[in-house]
Amino acid sequence: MTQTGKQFKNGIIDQNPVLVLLLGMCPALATSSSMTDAAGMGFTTTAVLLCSGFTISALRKLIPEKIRIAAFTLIIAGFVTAADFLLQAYAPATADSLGIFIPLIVVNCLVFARAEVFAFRNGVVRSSLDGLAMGMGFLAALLAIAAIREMLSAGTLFDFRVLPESFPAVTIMAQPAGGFFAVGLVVAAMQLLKRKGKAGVSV
Amino acid sequence: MNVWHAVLALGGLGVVLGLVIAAASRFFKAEADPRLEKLAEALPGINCGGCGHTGCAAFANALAAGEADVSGCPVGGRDAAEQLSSILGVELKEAVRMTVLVRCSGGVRARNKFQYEGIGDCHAAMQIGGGPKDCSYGCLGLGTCAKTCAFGAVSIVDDVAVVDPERCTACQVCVAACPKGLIIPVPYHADVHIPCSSREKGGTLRKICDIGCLGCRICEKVCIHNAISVEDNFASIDFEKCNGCGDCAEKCPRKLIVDAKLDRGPRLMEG
Amino acid sequence: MKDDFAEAADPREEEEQPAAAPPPLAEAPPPAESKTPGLNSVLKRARPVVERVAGVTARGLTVTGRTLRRFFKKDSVPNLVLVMFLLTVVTASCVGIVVSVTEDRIAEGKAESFAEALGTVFPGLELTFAPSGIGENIYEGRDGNGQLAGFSILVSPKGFSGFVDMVVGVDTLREVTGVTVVRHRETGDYSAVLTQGISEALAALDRGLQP
Repeated sequence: MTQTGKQFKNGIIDQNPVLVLLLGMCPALATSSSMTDAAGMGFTTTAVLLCSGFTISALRKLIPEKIRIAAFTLIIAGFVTAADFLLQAYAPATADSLGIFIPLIVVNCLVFARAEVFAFRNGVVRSSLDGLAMGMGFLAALLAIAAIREMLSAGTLFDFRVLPESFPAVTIMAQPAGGFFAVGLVVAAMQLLKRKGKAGVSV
Repeated sequence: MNVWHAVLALGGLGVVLGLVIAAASRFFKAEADPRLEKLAEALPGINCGGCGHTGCAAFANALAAGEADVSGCPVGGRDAAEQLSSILGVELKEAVRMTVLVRCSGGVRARNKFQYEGIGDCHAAMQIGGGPKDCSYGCLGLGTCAKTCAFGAVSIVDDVAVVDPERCTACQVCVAACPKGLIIPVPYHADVHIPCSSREKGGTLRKICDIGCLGCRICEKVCIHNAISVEDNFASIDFEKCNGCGDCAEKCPRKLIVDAKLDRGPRLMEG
Repeated sequence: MKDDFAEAADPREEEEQPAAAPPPLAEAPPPAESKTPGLNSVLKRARPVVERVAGVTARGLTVTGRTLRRFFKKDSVPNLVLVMFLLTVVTASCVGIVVSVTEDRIAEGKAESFAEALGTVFPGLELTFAPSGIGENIYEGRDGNGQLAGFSILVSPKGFSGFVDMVVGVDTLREVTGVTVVRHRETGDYSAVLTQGISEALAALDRGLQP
């Protein structure tokens, strides 16, 4: 597998932010009640991860150790603000439904953690790829959780009716408690997948 | 011009924050061991906790205080260990490769006090009068340890658990899994073992197990290195003193003691 | 350990090999193994451009770095303050640029959706709305001939998970023509809140008409 391939596999499976590293759970729980919201959040966070990874890596030699936390926050906040305005201008519906969770990307521990652990210590290309890969993993996890929640609570996927009208709506899945249930299920499924992947192990 | 207002305001804020941070770093400066920074640099910085400390910084602190071993970082591995030992100026001891041993050889050779038909799990069986074995110290052979092994190193042969030292990584998950505490870590290179945990008196043991230790003390007397001590009918080897000569294995009347070099013992420890 | 993966962007190395390929791209992966020939050719053509841009940025940053180091030590107070200042100024400027580019679009969009929302409570009628003098959130709708057709009133009664923003349309005969919910965070049935909203709107209109 190429270096790039390895990084993508790492971001989507081995170190999937939501399902393995358990980072970025707040937006995962909050925006996964519908798949359109989840997709919006996933793509926005990916964009921020990519841009902040690139920038922080490019500036890593210039930023003194002592102010790195302030610097990371500043750079990430800059990109999130830009993303917020761009969304409001060109995708107002998404901006409305994501609401307060767009500014919260600034304090999404995933973005900060990748900045600190990876972007600050690696080259520009690697860091950008890492941001992209983690973002893809985040998006995939959010879509998985949202699929369960939307399907059970409304019988739709991306607002297309998938289950018959007669299917009883499990409304709790649309609420925060349901979010926890769905996240727990998907995390467990991921663990199962990872263990089965290891040769000859019975779970 | 709103943009310039914002830019200047934020720039001013930046200056103020920079000063605050600079002031804080000076006034609240803790006298830091100069090695700490270098130690932290040498560590991966993932804060996974694999070393047993709360994070890389904590591990670095423990290293500087001499409370931690340089080979303690599983993620950093040998590279980290080498760098850490050079920073601290200590010798990098060659980590002794460990494996684990199941200290029981009973299985089919040990008598059952009842026939157990229940959940195939040692913890479950323990709930019923301590399990079906007559010897209360013996391996139940239901394989809880084997199931926990992520490397497939533990298996059940002849109703007793056996460890393949080639596959074993000494992670010690099976050690915690055994309800009778029969599994212990031993050096990989140790050829001689006493695979019995029984403290039963010899007379009783002879009736309930064909292979177990009687507590006869012959091994203790034969060992010229004083490596074996028999207490409470339980014989154990001190691996610091044992040199693997195998005299005890030769003299054991039950042919219990394993000497891997000469294939002596109740069972071969092979994969 | 930390710099294990970093490329050699050491300023001194830059000086010795000015003609060398910019370090950051030294370990750039080959163009992605793509199954579509079109994508591959785009990537192949994009690569030299990306390399150029990256090269310029890298050189710019190393020059900045060297200049800074000449005057300030990395952890000294002036350097901390300077870097913070530069970062905030640059970030603020970039955000400012984005804001000025998107301002108009956002304002347009907001005005559009606002006018739309006011109109939804009078289905089938083409009305233009303007603030009426009789109340803060009360807008009067006039048809093509300038005739007053009714009022669109904005209310925000409290729902179960926050406020429910809605528009209530009332015609000149004080009949409710329609209710549109603009924003809510309710789950399930919120019809009770709608009734509440209607009564609040009518109350506001009555208050406004009889000062």
